[in-house]
Amino acid sequence: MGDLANAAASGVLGAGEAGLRATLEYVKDGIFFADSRGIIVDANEAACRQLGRVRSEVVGSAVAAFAGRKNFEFSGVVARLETESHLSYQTTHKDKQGVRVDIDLTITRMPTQGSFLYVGIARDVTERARQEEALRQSEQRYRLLVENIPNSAVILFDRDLRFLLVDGPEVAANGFSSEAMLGRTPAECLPAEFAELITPNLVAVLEGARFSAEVPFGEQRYLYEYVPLRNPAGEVVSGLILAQNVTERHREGLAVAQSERHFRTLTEHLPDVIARLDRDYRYQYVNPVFVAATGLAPADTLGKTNAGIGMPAEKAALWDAKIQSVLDTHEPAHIEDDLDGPDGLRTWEARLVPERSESGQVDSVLLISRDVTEQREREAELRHKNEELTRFTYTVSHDLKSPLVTIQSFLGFLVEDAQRGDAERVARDVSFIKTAADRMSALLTDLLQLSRVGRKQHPPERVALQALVDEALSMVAGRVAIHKPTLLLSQAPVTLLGDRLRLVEVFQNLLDNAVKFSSLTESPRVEVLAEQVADEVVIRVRDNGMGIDPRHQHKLFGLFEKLQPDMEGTGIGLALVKRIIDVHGGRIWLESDGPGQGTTVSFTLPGTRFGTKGEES
Amino acid sequence: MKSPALPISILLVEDDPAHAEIVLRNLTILQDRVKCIAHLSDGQQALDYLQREGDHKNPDDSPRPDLVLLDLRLPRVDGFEVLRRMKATEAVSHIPVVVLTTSDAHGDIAAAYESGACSYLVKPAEFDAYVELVRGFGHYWSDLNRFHGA
Repeated sequence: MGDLANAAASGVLGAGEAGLRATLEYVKDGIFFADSRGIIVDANEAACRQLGRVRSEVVGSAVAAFAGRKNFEFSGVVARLETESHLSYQTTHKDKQGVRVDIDLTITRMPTQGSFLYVGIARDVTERARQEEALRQSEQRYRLLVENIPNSAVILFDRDLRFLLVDGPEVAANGFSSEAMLGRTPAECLPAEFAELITPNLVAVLEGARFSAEVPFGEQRYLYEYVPLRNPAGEVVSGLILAQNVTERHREGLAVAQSERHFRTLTEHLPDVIARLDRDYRYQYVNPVFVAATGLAPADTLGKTNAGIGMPAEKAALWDAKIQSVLDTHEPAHIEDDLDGPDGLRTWEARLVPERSESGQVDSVLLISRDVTEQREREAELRHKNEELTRFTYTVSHDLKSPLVTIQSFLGFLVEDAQRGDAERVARDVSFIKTAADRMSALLTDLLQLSRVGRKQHPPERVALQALVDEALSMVAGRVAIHKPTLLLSQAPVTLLGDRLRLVEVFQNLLDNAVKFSSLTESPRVEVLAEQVADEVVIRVRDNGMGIDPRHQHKLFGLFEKLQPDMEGTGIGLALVKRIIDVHGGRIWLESDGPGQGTTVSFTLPGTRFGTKGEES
Repeated sequence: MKSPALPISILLVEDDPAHAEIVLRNLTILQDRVKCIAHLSDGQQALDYLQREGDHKNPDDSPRPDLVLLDLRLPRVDGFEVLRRMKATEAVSHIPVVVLTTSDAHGDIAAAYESGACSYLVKPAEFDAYVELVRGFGHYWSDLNRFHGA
């Protein structure tokens, strides 16, 4: 402790030497004192620790013994300190165990008793050096990364909007260099327009906002991810931009958006129901026709399944199964179903089409559906008409063939009977031939009449029931005069709407039948009645005649059907009436409690109503 | 075995009087083999006769025929219905029914056989063919009756 004690004694260190020593022992830096020869006269604990030696080993050794460099001459230090206040070294040495120690060393001198005491302050920077090395490596890795992420750039800027770091392949790709940008603000180093565009974003980042935005740059388009960087106190000290060139993706996006727009334009103007369902049978898209057909707004539909939008469970299961079959087989499927909607029960014919992604997977199903209610109704009507036509053709051919057979046969008999000279038989044969020929003529006339009913009609007009009945009665006046039935005719102010001539034919036939069939009773009676039943007017023609066995009633509206073979006429009357009523859109039916109970033919016609005024409907 | 001298009895159901007369006249030539015991002009009368109902309640007035010659298009009850009801009535279900009609529609032929007809004959428009048909029919059934009749 010689020199240190001397220093204390000389008053350099003063009376508080014990306190100073204690302080030196607690200082983390190594401190040693050397004389002008470079011999260490004292060292604190930290200095000894840095050297890996005990104090007794350190004190008395030459400073050069611990120097990291060979040829270290303390005399050089002494000489330099004549002119310089202190010397700084970055040096290394190995401790006693051979571990490398990095030291920042500062040497200065203090005067003492005509000489100088040299003070070395050694800071162990091994840890810092190690950290710096790690940082260097990390930075190298980071650069490697940034420079190799395709289509990207990393930009760091400070609170003054100056670029601290500009890196990544996109920088050079756009003709910039990080050298030209570092330390400058956007306004100083970027095209004015672009600088104006992004500066507000940089400001926003410094205010703490984290966001991303697409930024156009020339022909290119970038996705900028703006990230505020904070210090441990939470203050934003700088901002980071992660830029990615999304030009290609944007272009594809535009193409997809355009294709989607085309799809929408198309689907929103097609008359069909169109919807898209995902793999979980949920609606992803519905067009306006779907909305109109279901009465459900898109918000009530999207994201929901068929069951979710109120389809009965059984039907929903059926539809879901069809959708699944399309997902499984990648083949379109058909389904026809009756569904309840705002317009009541409608028949829908749907086509389920797989929509393939680029990978070939079916990830949605397009539903294209059409209301075929009317079509199916028309088909049924057409089928019915066809069957009717077949029956008609059959009946006609049969009924025309029948008199032909008669004529041919009796011509044969006629020849034989004439040869035998049997005049009586000849007369009989001729009579059969004439009857058959007359019947054929009547059939043909009736057929012609029937065919006219289905063809173009006169425009409908409103006619009073009484007028129609009167006109019809005048046409069957002969039969009425013979049989003299009691006529009970409705005086109700009922009007009918239709082809006047045809309506007269209806009453003519019905009244003719009624008079004919009631003629065999003692006091024949024929009635015409009009009655409001629910929302329609029913017209009835009733007689008190022989009536009709319920078993035979269904046959009576058929062509050439006759109840009594010997009754006059071809049997076309009721078939004709039914056809006129059908053509006018009405219904006709027959009621009779059986033989002897009389017969009532009832019908309705659209537009028939109480009240004689013509024009209101 | 029935005596060869006894002709087979026929029930004719035909609404057209002319057609009925054609059949009856043609059958007169075969009078030793075929005899028409009744001619009825609609399906309901035919059923009443066979089931002995309505106007034909008295069995003496409605002897069972050996054969029914039936037209299809008949007033009130048509020929198909007559066939079906005959086949459903035990007392008459065994009586063979021969359909004689102007219709040559496939549907009618099939329906007639389905309803239990033994034979289906289409009335020819030519006189000679008609004569031939009725005579052939008479011979066939009377021969059949001779071999198999009780």
